[in-house]
Amino acid sequence: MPPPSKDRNEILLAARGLKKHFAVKGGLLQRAIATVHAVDGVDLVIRRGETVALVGESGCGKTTLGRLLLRLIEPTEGDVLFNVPEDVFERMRANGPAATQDDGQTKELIRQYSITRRRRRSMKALRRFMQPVFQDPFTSLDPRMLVKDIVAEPLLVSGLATRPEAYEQGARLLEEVGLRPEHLYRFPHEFSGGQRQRIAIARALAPEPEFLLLDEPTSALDVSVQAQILNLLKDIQRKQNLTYLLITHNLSVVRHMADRVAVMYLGRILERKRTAELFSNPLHPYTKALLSAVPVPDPKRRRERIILPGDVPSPIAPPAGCRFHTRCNAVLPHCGWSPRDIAATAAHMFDPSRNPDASELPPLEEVTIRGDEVLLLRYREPATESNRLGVEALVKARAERPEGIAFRAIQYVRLDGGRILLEFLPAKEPELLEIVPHHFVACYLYPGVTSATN
Amino acid sequence: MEPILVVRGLKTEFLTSRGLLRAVDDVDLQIRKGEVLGLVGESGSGKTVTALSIMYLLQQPPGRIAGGEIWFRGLNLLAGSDEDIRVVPRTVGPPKFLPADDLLKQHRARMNRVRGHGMSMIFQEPMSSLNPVLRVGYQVAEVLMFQRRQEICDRLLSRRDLTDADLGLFRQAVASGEASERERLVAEFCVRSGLRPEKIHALIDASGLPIDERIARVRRLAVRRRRGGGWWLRFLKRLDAMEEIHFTREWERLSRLSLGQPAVDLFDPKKNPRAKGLPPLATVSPQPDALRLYFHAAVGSGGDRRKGDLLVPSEDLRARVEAHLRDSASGVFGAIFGIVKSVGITEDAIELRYREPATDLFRTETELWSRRLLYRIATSIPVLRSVLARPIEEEARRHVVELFRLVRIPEPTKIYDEYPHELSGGMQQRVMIAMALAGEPALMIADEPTTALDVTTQAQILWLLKDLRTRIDSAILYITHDLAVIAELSDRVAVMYAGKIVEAAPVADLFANPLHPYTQGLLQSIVSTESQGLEPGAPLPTIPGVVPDLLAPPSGCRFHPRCKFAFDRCRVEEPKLLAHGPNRRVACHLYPEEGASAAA
Repeated sequence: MPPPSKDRNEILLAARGLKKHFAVKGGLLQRAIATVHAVDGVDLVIRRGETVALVGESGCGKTTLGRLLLRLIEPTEGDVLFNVPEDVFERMRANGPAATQDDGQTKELIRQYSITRRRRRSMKALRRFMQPVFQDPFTSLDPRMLVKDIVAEPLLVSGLATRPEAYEQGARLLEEVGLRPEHLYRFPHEFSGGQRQRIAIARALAPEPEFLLLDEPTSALDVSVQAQILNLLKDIQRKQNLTYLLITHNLSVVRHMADRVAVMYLGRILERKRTAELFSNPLHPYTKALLSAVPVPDPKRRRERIILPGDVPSPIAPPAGCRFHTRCNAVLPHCGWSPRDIAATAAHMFDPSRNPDASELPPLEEVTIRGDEVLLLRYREPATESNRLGVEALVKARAERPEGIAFRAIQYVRLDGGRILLEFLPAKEPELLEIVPHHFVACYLYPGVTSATN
Repeated sequence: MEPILVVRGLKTEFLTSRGLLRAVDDVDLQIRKGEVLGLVGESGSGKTVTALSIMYLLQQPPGRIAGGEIWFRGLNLLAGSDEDIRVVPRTVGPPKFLPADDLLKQHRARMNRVRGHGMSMIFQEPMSSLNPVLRVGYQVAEVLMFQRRQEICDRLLSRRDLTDADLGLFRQAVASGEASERERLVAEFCVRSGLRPEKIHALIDASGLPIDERIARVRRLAVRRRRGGGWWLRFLKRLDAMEEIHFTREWERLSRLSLGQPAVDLFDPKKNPRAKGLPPLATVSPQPDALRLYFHAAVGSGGDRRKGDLLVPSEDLRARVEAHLRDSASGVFGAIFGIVKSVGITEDAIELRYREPATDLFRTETELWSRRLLYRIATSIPVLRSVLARPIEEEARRHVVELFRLVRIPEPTKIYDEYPHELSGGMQQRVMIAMALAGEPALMIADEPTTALDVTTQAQILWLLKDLRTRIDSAILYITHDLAVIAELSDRVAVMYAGKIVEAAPVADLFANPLHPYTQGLLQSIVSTESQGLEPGAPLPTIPGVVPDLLAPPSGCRFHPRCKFAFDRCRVEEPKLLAHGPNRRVACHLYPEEGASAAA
């Protein structure tokens, strides 16, 4: 395997079909009872010297993805590739985006560049090239260590320097991040939030990394200090030609820092494009909502606001089809409506004792969900063809009302052994397609463009 | 509009191992009814301590309110918190001397009544402010049971049998297909019938029941509804009403006794330039029923009658004092001196006579004490206590479900029974807002309520606060370090730096033309999604340096070490907060005094 530091290849980090599922344990025997789909099939490329931002609400899996990229946790599926030459990467990608149908040759290439398939011990040599900076500088620094030890530790651990050298290096690093050498002999609690974040940055810079994972580096800081830290990060990047992955929920930070943006929602990337284009021409409804949520520091501007209803759905059972369809304001019938979206309403609608419009139906006994596509209605007496027509008429009437969008996804109403089946359009997740060059969106609003490589 | 909260010269100190730290230094604030005041500054500038001082929630010691006054709806919040006041005059008989302990106890009890109903606070971190072992709904219900028990008793006492109109609502709810519509109908039905919403929901959701059977079951539920216990509810209602009046009366008396300082600030021509038409003030004497003003005989006022050094008041002087009082009625002093009924003359002083104190509901204090005793006895028996409290708790529960709906919590009946850790950050913050709203406060203090939340959730919460403000008309003091949030929500802004207010202005003026260099720096360092004419990749403008150590604040203007306009005077002389234009005040030597001085 080529040592990554020798040839500085074009593509620094790439995720291929990366997945991370956590088991939820419960019951007496602590057996896995459910799975959290924290990261669910992510492809991402980070080129040398650029800043990629990962944006999304809390709980969307952005931090988990960051940890996977550094191999701080092991992926369930997929690979993280490190330091890949462009032509090799193209060859890998020629087979399609998913990592499943790879041929022997691609597999060989992946094995060569993947850091997730390496042994833990050989991983250690790579660690110094990728360093994290965490969100909360109040918890990410050891309160019992002097600043000089905090900054020198990565150097000592990776065996890059002797102790005196490491301290000397530490003093230099502190100056680089805007602190003074006398700060070396203090404890973290003697510093303000902004200064602590500077120490965390100095620590990350110590082993001369090529890649920094910035996990919400400024969200615990004051607005005025945030600007200082962002300037510092930009400055260091320019000087040392670093590559950043910036994880944040704040789009205004993204605008200032990033070259490219990936918008994440429930473990999937919904939109990926260059920063300037994201702000001038957001395509995915979720991106639009995120953008409109950022407060504008101008009291005279009263903007149309898209307020997303509710919270992010649980990643234990992400919605079928497009994961965003339950909160989307531009939703279409084929976005992935499934029986669970309408089960409660159906129990009402098709019950003659509650809905006067359904009076000619027999009393409703039970409503059951079968899979992602079928809703079963069982009546007290076996349903007849005329009952089926009645249900169909109710569905049609409902589908014409604006709030009845989910009913437009009902494809057939069938009679099956005395029960009535409501069959839905098959739920398919929209693929991340290139709509405009370098602009990928996963949304059914923008169809018809076949997957092209950039 | 008249201010509901007036803070004058507030000073809050902390005694630390390294010395005395003055976290809030001479802060003046006023909030009018229904207004949103934004309080901005970096961390460590004293915003939260100001809020905690207003709510009197400081940890004491080491904290201490070292000076100043806080007037809330015309009453002095700090009256009695200070050990110096030892005399409690009574309307009948000689003044009563109280040891300081008793006064403090009274003050504490009074603050307990003001918090919640008068003003409430939304804290920054909902997860650490909610009790992890209690259901969230109960935590909100507790506020209601404490603050608004009278209303709950009223609602319970006014129960009646189910009417056809009530049952019609139920029928509608059964027939309605829309979940939100159903929620609304069920809520209304439950308010009218006094039944528990979750039972009604269960009845509606049961499939396959004919409508007549459903109605029969509702009737049965209504019959089973707890009746009786009316004597206890009436007893509680009267006790609460008596307590309320008792406290307000005592509080009014104490407030009247602490009117001395404001009176000097208002009527002394040396302190208030608007009082120039008045002769020099000699002394003021607050009495339980009036405030006496004694004036010096001015040098040039030969025509006036003198008595020793003092002026014998004439009808003309009385009229001038009255006119001066009327002129200042719209501002801070209007809120403080709103209790003055008339201005009269005694032989050597002008007398500001107060309104009658709160009316007596009860002849003697014996009745109050006997009721308190009975209440103590009844609630000290556990079984009896739970039996007596149950209907009140159930009624509070219904009310909480309505509150949850107001703050747009989906499925409020379900959320009621959940624990804080089961809710997302946004939901927790909504519960906190519901709790703050429970007492229907005149003033809500929101201390960085969205700082720990996502932008999308922040947008929801801001929208909710804006919406609530139009619906319940309560004033909001919004504390944040993010000026962008202020731009979205506030009417006026006060910028705080190192324990002092450095600029106060209406929000549009502040953003269009920030005066103080610190405000300018704050505004420039906002990272925005808009381009601001900044090249992508160009460094953001920042304020160099950090907030000073308040144990040893810089001399002169506290901002001068970080200020790019600082000149010699800034290092020596501390700028005062002076009026600049009609609505603005700024504390900076860059802006000359304009002939105007400290605004009233």
